[in-house]
Amino acid sequence: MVVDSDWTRQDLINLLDAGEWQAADRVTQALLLAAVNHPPETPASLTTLLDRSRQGLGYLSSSALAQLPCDLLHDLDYLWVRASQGQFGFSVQERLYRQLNQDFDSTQLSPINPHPFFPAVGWLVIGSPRPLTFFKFYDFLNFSLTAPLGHLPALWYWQLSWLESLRVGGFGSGQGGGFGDLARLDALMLRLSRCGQL
Amino acid sequence: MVREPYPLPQVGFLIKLIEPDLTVDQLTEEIHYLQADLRALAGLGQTRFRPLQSPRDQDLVSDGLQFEAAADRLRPILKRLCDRLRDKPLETLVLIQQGSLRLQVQTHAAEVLAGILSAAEAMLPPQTLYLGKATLYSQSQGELSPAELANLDLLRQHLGLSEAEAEDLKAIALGPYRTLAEKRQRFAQVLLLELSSHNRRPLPAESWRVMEELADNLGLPEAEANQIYQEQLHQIQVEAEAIRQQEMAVVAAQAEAEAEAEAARQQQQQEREHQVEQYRAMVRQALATSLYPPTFDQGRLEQARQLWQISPERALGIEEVIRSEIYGPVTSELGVNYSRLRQLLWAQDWRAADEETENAILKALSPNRQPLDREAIAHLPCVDLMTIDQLWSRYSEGKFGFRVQQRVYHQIEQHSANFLRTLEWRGPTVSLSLGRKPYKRLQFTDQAPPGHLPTWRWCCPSLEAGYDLSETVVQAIMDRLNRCFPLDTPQGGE
Repeated sequence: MVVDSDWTRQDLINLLDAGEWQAADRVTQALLLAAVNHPPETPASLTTLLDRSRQGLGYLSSSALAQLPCDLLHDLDYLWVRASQGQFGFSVQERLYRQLNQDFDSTQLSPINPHPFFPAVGWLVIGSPRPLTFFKFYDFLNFSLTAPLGHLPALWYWQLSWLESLRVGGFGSGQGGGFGDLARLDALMLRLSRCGQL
Repeated sequence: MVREPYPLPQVGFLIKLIEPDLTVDQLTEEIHYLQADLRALAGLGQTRFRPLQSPRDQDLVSDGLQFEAAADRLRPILKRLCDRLRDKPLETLVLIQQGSLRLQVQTHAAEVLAGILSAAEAMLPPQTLYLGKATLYSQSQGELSPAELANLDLLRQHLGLSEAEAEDLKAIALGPYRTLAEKRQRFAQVLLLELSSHNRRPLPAESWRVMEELADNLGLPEAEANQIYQEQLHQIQVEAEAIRQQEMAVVAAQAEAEAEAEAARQQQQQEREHQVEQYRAMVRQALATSLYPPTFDQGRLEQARQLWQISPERALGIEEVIRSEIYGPVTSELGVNYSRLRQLLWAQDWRAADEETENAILKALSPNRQPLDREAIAHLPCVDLMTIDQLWSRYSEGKFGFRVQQRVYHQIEQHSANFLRTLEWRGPTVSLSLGRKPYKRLQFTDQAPPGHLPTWRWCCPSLEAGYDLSETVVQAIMDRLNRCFPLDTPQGGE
């Protein structure tokens, strides 16, 4: 997966307006990564340096997600929600997550008992008679407005380092084929709620 | 009846010391004293004394005096000279000239000089003699007594003066103020003017001397003049005293008025303070059961506030102070408002209070709401940590708060993993999740173990996958707590 960090906000607006959801998702991810790799002003400490070297690998770890700039998240969310008429966007995902998380006991989380958010947004492979518990490959996601609520953006969650991909049960293919990692999902959702208090 | 003033004839005097034994210095001294003596005589104060100079040892030496005096002064001058000779018999030449008549005598004996007195007087015209006598009498008493009048009448007949002439002369002797009472009145009048020009203070010596001269000119005896002067001074003193007392009375009245006003002000102030105190009591009562007064109490407070004219700002201030008294202070170095935290803690809403703790800390320290890293933790202000700790501790009766956590940490010998387990922030390691607990599985009740709350969720990137803290973070927070709240026992363990 090639991530070009030269994408601009205007590119995203153009792609979203054109209904190019997959390309828009890629540009969104590129903008997020650019923000954590080149933060405007972050005090350099050992932990942030370590984080950055990890982020340099090109994916969003929990701690990277926890530090995403609020205004960027708000802006991206606004563009997605507007272009999809409320179908896609971070705030849509956060609302779903908060509802579903209330009754979910995360101590019971296991490969066969995924967080209910994942099937709800249609990120898991559809099985018969009931949904399987591993993730779709990225290219098989539904990049159209017929997709479930909160289906996109998704690349922020899919894109993983090779090692991380192996850890979640994938095979170097990002999240695809692996099991859900609650920490990263929760990190962005917590980030969104913290930003919401601004 | 106005009388023409009778011109008093002048008599010329020449007095010369011709005692050969005197040195130049002695001579000068004698002349000096002689002049002073003569000048001291009544009526001679203004006399011009001209020194006489004679050549001696090729120098000019003052050895005599020449002057003119009114005819009636003849007798006192000669008497004074006699007295001097009686004291110190110096060879003296005295020359008296009246008109074309001259009388000259040279002697060192007082008797000789006294002997020429009648001769000298005889030299004078009868008017002069009569006048001299009348003047002498008038000056002794200030007016003429019946005996003196009788004497004068005899003298008049003796001298062959007409009665009209004698009356004129008596008038001159007595001056324009004939009776003692008139003289006194005149003297007192002038004295009063003189005193006024000196701001009603006792007269300086030179002014008094002029007044004495006036008394003399008026023919007022010195004792009388002095008495009048003393009376005037006394009068002035009495008046001044009266004025002073009057002024003091005014001042005292003013002071009294001021004291009254001050007392009134103080009373008003006291009343005001009493009202504010009453208002405080009402606020305290209203706040006793609830952190924020219910509508009913608010209405009552508002009524009281308007009744007692307490400004809304002041009322709010009072309310805030009392709230802090009852529910703990909410001071912050970072300008964070901890009242919401206090309210949630007061309501024992532990979970919301924990979230509000994160909210407050992130709001203060992390403008972008990013979880705190080691460096940011080191910048947590002690005042804010103290406020948060005290609020938690107060509403959990000492169960929760940073200092409880600090104590636990030192009791389990500063072992990070044990610390997390003791606080039950982490479960037994053997479980599937490696002991990690999701945030929402933490115990937000007062049954939780000591130090379980507040959590340090403000350091966590995510919570649901497991509320977990790295050793680095635990240590950073403990370092900060140790710095802000130094432990009583350096060892920590008990």
